[in-house]
Amino acid sequence: MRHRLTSAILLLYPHRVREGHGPEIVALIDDLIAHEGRSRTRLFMRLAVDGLVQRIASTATAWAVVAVLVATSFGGLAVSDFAAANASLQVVPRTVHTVAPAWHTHQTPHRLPRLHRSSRRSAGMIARGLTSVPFSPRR
Amino acid sequence: MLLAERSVLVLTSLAGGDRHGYALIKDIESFSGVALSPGTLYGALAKLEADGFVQRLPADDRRYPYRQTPAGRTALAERLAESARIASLGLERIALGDA
Repeated sequence: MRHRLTSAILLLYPHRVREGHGPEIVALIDDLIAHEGRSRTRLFMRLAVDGLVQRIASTATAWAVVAVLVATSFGGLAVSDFAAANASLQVVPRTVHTVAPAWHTHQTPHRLPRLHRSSRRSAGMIARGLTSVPFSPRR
Repeated sequence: MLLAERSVLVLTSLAGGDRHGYALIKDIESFSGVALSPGTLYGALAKLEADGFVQRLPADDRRYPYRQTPAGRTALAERLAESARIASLGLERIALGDA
Protein backbone atom coordinates (compact mmCIF):
# COMPACT_ATOMS: atom_id res chain seq x y z
CA MET A 1 0.00 0.00 0.00
CA ARG A 2 2.78 2.41 0.99
CA HIS A 3 4.77 1.66 -2.15
CA ARG A 4 1.70 2.12 -4.33
CA LEU A 5 1.02 5.48 -2.74
CA THR A 6 4.65 6.48 -3.21
CA SER A 7 4.52 5.37 -6.85
CA ALA A 8 1.35 7.40 -7.37
CA ILE A 9 2.95 10.50 -5.83
CA LEU A 10 6.05 9.99 -7.97
CA LEU A 11 3.87 10.58 -11.04
CA LEU A 12 3.93 14.24 -10.03
CA TYR A 13 7.70 14.37 -10.57
CA PRO A 14 9.40 15.21 -13.86
CA HIS A 15 10.20 12.20 -16.01
CA ARG A 16 13.96 12.50 -15.39
CA VAL A 17 13.59 12.22 -11.61
CA ARG A 18 10.81 9.62 -11.68
CA GLU A 19 12.52 7.24 -14.09
CA GLY A 20 16.06 7.76 -12.86
CA HIS A 21 15.51 7.82 -9.13
CA GLY A 22 12.00 6.47 -8.39
CA PRO A 23 13.09 3.19 -6.72
CA GLU A 24 15.73 5.09 -4.73
CA ILE A 25 13.13 7.53 -3.41
CA VAL A 26 10.95 4.61 -2.34
CA ALA A 27 13.94 3.00 -0.60
CA LEU A 28 14.83 6.27 1.11
CA ILE A 29 11.30 6.72 2.42
CA ASP A 30 11.45 3.17 3.78
CA ASP A 31 14.74 4.04 5.51
CA LEU A 32 13.39 7.26 6.98
CA ILE A 33 10.31 5.52 8.35
CA ALA A 34 12.30 2.55 9.67
CA HIS A 35 15.29 4.35 11.19
CA GLU A 36 14.01 7.80 12.02
CA GLY A 37 10.42 7.05 12.89
CA ARG A 38 9.29 9.98 10.79
CA SER A 39 5.61 10.59 10.22
CA ARG A 40 4.41 8.87 7.06
CA THR A 41 1.75 11.47 6.44
CA ARG A 42 4.25 14.29 6.65
CA LEU A 43 6.73 12.44 4.42
CA PHE A 44 4.11 11.80 1.75
CA MET A 45 2.79 15.34 1.93
CA ARG A 46 6.27 16.77 1.49
CA LEU A 47 7.01 14.28 -1.28
CA ALA A 48 3.90 15.46 -3.13
CA VAL A 49 4.69 19.14 -2.65
CA ASP A 50 8.27 18.66 -3.84
CA GLY A 51 6.99 16.78 -6.87
CA LEU A 52 4.58 19.56 -7.74
CA VAL A 53 7.25 22.22 -7.31
CA GLN A 54 9.70 20.34 -9.52
CA ARG A 55 7.03 19.63 -12.13
CA ILE A 56 6.01 23.29 -12.27
CA ALA A 57 9.65 24.36 -12.49
CA SER A 58 10.42 21.94 -15.32
CA THR A 59 7.20 22.81 -17.17
CA ALA A 60 7.88 26.51 -16.77
CA THR A 61 11.35 26.01 -18.22
CA ALA A 62 9.94 24.08 -21.17
CA TRP A 63 7.31 26.76 -21.82
CA ALA A 64 9.93 29.47 -21.59
CA VAL A 65 11.99 27.69 -24.26
CA VAL A 66 8.92 27.30 -26.49
CA ALA A 67 7.99 30.97 -26.00
CA VAL A 68 11.49 32.12 -26.95
CA LEU A 69 11.49 29.92 -30.06
CA VAL A 70 8.07 31.18 -31.17
CA ALA A 71 9.00 34.81 -30.49
CA THR A 72 12.27 34.57 -32.42
CA SER A 73 10.54 32.80 -35.33
CA PHE A 74 7.86 35.47 -35.63
CA GLY A 75 10.44 38.18 -35.15
CA GLY A 76 12.55 36.73 -37.94
CA LEU A 77 9.53 36.51 -40.24
CA ALA A 78 8.58 40.11 -39.47
CA VAL A 79 12.10 41.33 -40.16
CA SER A 80 12.31 39.42 -43.44
CA ASP A 81 8.87 40.72 -44.51
CA PHE A 82 9.92 44.25 -43.67
CA ALA A 83 13.16 43.84 -45.61
CA ALA A 84 11.28 42.41 -48.59
CA ALA A 85 8.78 45.27 -48.52
CA ASN A 86 11.58 47.81 -48.40
CA ALA A 87 13.41 46.09 -51.24
CA SER A 88 10.33 46.14 -53.50
CA LEU A 89 9.77 49.80 -52.71
CA GLN A 90 13.33 50.55 -53.74
CA VAL A 91 13.05 48.64 -57.04
CA VAL A 92 9.97 50.42 -58.36
CA PRO A 93 11.47 53.92 -58.69
CA ARG A 94 14.59 52.50 -60.30
CA THR A 95 12.45 50.68 -62.84
CA VAL A 96 10.56 53.80 -63.73
CA HIS A 97 13.72 55.81 -63.85
CA THR A 98 15.63 53.42 -66.05
CA VAL A 99 12.90 52.44 -68.49
CA ALA A 100 11.18 55.74 -69.03
CA PRO A 101 13.92 58.04 -70.44
CA ALA A 102 13.66 59.58 -73.87
CA TRP A 103 16.56 57.68 -75.40
CA HIS A 104 14.39 54.55 -75.45
CA THR A 105 13.71 53.82 -79.14
CA HIS A 106 13.01 50.72 -81.15
CA GLN A 107 16.55 50.72 -82.44
CA THR A 108 18.12 50.94 -79.05
CA PRO A 109 15.79 49.15 -76.72
CA HIS A 110 16.31 49.98 -73.06
CA ARG A 111 19.87 50.93 -73.43
CA LEU A 112 21.28 53.29 -70.88
CA PRO A 113 23.79 55.99 -71.61
CA ARG A 114 27.40 55.13 -70.99
CA LEU A 115 27.42 57.16 -67.83
CA HIS A 116 25.14 54.59 -66.18
CA ARG A 117 26.82 51.48 -67.37
CA SER A 118 27.19 50.06 -63.93
CA SER A 119 23.43 49.62 -63.66
CA ARG A 120 22.84 48.39 -67.20
CA ARG A 121 22.43 44.79 -66.27
CA SER A 122 19.71 45.39 -63.70
CA ALA A 123 18.00 47.90 -65.94
CA GLY A 124 17.96 45.39 -68.76
CA MET A 125 16.53 42.66 -66.58
CA ILE A 126 13.70 44.88 -65.46
CA ALA A 127 12.99 46.10 -68.98
CA ARG A 128 12.84 42.57 -70.39
CA GLY A 129 10.23 41.63 -67.87
CA LEU A 130 8.11 44.66 -68.66
CA THR A 131 8.21 44.77 -72.45
CA SER A 132 9.36 41.29 -73.50
CA VAL A 133 11.76 42.97 -75.93
CA PRO A 134 15.06 41.10 -75.97
CA PHE A 135 17.85 43.08 -74.45
CA SER A 136 21.22 43.10 -76.14
CA PRO A 137 23.80 45.24 -74.42
CA ARG A 138 26.14 47.02 -76.72
CA ARG A 139 29.71 45.88 -76.46
CA MET B 1 27.12 28.04 -13.59
CA LEU B 2 25.55 29.10 -10.31
CA LEU B 3 24.91 26.12 -8.05
CA ALA B 4 21.68 26.09 -6.08
CA GLU B 5 21.94 26.00 -2.31
CA ARG B 6 20.76 22.40 -2.05
CA SER B 7 23.28 21.37 -4.71
CA VAL B 8 26.04 22.98 -2.64
CA LEU B 9 24.88 20.99 0.37
CA VAL B 10 24.88 17.73 -1.59
CA LEU B 11 28.28 18.39 -3.16
CA THR B 12 29.73 19.39 0.21
CA SER B 13 28.50 16.14 1.69
CA LEU B 14 29.89 14.09 -1.21
CA ALA B 15 33.23 15.89 -0.86
CA GLY B 16 33.65 13.80 2.29
CA GLY B 17 33.16 10.51 0.45
CA ASP B 18 30.67 8.42 -1.48
CA ARG B 19 27.18 8.29 0.04
CA HIS B 20 23.72 7.01 -0.79
CA GLY B 21 20.49 8.93 -0.21
CA TYR B 22 19.91 8.19 3.45
CA ALA B 23 23.56 8.87 4.40
CA LEU B 24 23.42 12.13 2.44
CA ILE B 25 20.33 13.32 4.29
CA LYS B 26 21.84 12.47 7.67
CA ASP B 27 25.20 14.10 6.85
CA ILE B 28 23.64 17.29 5.47
CA GLU B 29 21.41 17.54 8.53
CA SER B 30 24.41 17.13 10.82
CA PHE B 31 26.60 19.86 9.30
CA SER B 32 23.96 22.37 8.16
CA GLY B 33 20.83 21.68 10.15
CA VAL B 34 18.86 21.43 6.90
CA ALA B 35 16.61 18.38 6.62
CA LEU B 36 16.26 17.71 2.91
CA SER B 37 13.20 15.75 1.85
CA PRO B 38 13.65 12.70 -0.41
CA GLY B 39 12.12 14.54 -3.36
CA THR B 40 14.35 17.57 -2.93
CA LEU B 41 17.45 15.42 -2.52
CA TYR B 42 16.83 13.35 -5.64
CA GLY B 43 15.79 16.41 -7.62
CA ALA B 44 19.17 17.93 -6.78
CA LEU B 45 20.99 14.66 -7.50
CA ALA B 46 19.25 14.33 -10.88
CA LYS B 47 20.33 17.86 -11.82
CA LEU B 48 23.89 17.33 -10.59
CA GLU B 49 24.11 14.02 -12.44
CA ALA B 50 22.83 15.63 -15.65
CA ASP B 51 25.44 18.39 -15.27
CA GLY B 52 28.19 15.81 -14.76
CA PHE B 53 28.95 16.91 -11.20
CA VAL B 54 28.12 13.56 -9.56
CA GLN B 55 28.05 10.00 -10.80
CA ARG B 56 25.95 7.11 -9.62
CA LEU B 57 27.87 4.03 -8.56
CA PRO B 58 26.61 0.44 -8.85
CA ALA B 59 23.65 -0.33 -6.60
CA ASP B 60 23.87 -1.79 -3.15
CA ASP B 61 20.39 -3.35 -2.85
CA ARG B 62 18.05 -0.50 -3.96
CA ARG B 63 20.47 2.14 -2.73
CA TYR B 64 22.86 3.73 -5.19
CA PRO B 65 25.88 5.48 -3.73
CA TYR B 66 26.91 8.74 -5.40
CA ARG B 67 30.39 10.07 -6.04
CA GLN B 68 31.55 13.58 -6.78
CA THR B 69 33.26 13.98 -10.15
CA PRO B 70 36.30 16.24 -10.71
CA ALA B 71 33.98 18.73 -12.43
CA GLY B 72 31.73 18.69 -9.38
CA ARG B 73 34.70 19.30 -7.11
CA THR B 74 35.80 22.26 -9.22
CA ALA B 75 32.28 23.73 -9.31
CA LEU B 76 31.94 23.35 -5.55
CA ALA B 77 35.35 24.94 -4.92
CA GLU B 78 34.45 27.92 -7.11
CA ARG B 79 31.06 28.35 -5.47
CA LEU B 80 32.49 28.14 -1.95
CA ALA B 81 35.29 30.57 -2.80
CA GLU B 82 32.69 33.04 -4.09
CA SER B 83 30.61 32.56 -0.94
CA ALA B 84 33.72 33.06 1.22
CA ARG B 85 34.57 36.26 -0.65
CA ILE B 86 31.04 37.63 -0.14
CA ALA B 87 31.04 36.55 3.50
CA SER B 88 34.38 38.25 4.07
CA LEU B 89 33.19 41.45 2.42
CA GLY B 90 29.96 41.41 4.40
CA LEU B 91 31.77 40.89 7.71
CA GLU B 92 34.22 43.66 6.82
CA ARG B 93 31.38 46.10 6.14
CA ILE B 94 29.58 45.09 9.32
CA ALA B 95 32.78 45.73 11.26
CA LEU B 96 33.18 49.15 9.60
CA GLY B 97 29.56 49.97 10.38
CA ASP B 98 30.05 49.07 14.03
CA ALA B 99 33.23 51.15 14.35
